[in-house]
Amino acid sequence: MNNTNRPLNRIFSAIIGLLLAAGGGGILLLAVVPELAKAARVSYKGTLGGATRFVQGAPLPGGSGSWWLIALTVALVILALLLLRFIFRQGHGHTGTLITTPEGAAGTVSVDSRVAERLLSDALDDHRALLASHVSTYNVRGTPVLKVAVQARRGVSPTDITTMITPLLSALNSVLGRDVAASIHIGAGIRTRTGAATRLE
Amino acid sequence: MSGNTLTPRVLAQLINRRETRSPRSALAIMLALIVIFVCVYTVIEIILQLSGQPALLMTVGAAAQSLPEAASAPAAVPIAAVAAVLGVIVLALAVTPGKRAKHTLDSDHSVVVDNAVIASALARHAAGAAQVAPDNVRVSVSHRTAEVRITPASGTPIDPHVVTLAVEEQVALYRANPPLRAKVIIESVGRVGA
Repeated sequence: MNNTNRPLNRIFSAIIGLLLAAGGGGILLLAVVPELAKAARVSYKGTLGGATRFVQGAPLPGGSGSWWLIALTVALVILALLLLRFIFRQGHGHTGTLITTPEGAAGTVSVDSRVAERLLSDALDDHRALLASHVSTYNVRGTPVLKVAVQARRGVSPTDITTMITPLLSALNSVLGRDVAASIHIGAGIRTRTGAATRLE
Repeated sequence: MSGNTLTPRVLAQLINRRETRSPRSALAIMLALIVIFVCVYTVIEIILQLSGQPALLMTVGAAAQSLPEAASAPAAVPIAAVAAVLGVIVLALAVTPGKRAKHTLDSDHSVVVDNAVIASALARHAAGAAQVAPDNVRVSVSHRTAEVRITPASGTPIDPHVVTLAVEEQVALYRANPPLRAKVIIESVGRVGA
């Protein structure tokens, strides 16, 4: 439920995958077909010569370097920074505000996410069907959504858990006076597999 | 916060779809780190070259010069093969949906359930119906099927129809998405004290 840019992850991975496959496959192809390797060598030499002349066309004052090397450095640094930003943009999406009313004559009302998170957590803590629970709030496409993540005791039916949580959500909605979107995540942990089975029906 | 145009139903579908698929974050982060490393290394080589210091490995120009020799060296073939295979694997990971071992349940809210939870619940109900200890029931839940394997207690036959009925009733109750088909297998060899 986080804000990870998943299409971007996949596009970036696809590009790198394509480059790797093309590079590796290309070298393999050249190793298999000698005539092609010869032609590739000639055209590479031509391109390299052109590139060298181009780079030397903008020499640095007094040095052996070129402005183009500086430009390449800047471009690489920018690329590295963009990729760092890309890495740190993974995840996120928590929101601290559950409800904000539009500005009216009486001002605005905003409800902190903690209110709903605490109320639900307290209600869930007593239930024997659950081993653990965690409530958090995410902003999904502009809508605050409560994420109710619970760990089921061994043998408890997921429908028993949803029928237990749904009234709690309805009660929360009536307390807040507004329908809050929610997503229930029922997970299994190591204790689900090894712990004592439920005796509840 | 405002401009909320998504209906609750659409929002739930969106979350369900997202939560049952892999974000491919680990792959993307790993690849990004490798590219960053290459960028930083190249930048260091350029700076060393511009300041007249000796290169760490070789200058960018020398690397470009020696590329044809390196590519035609005998050692290049296995390296290229590994790179090509890795590239195809990365490409496949980027394109495939990457479904997680989870199901969504048909409900007013978005409900996402680990397959292990479904398996554990089915195991308890199957054990109850077969009257064996829960540890003698093994359930594996995949995207489409829930396979229940029961080891009977020696000398106590199990009625497969009763168990199948109980399991199918549970599965139908969940209204899981993608739909689950129950399969009950009673092992032919029993165990004492099961």
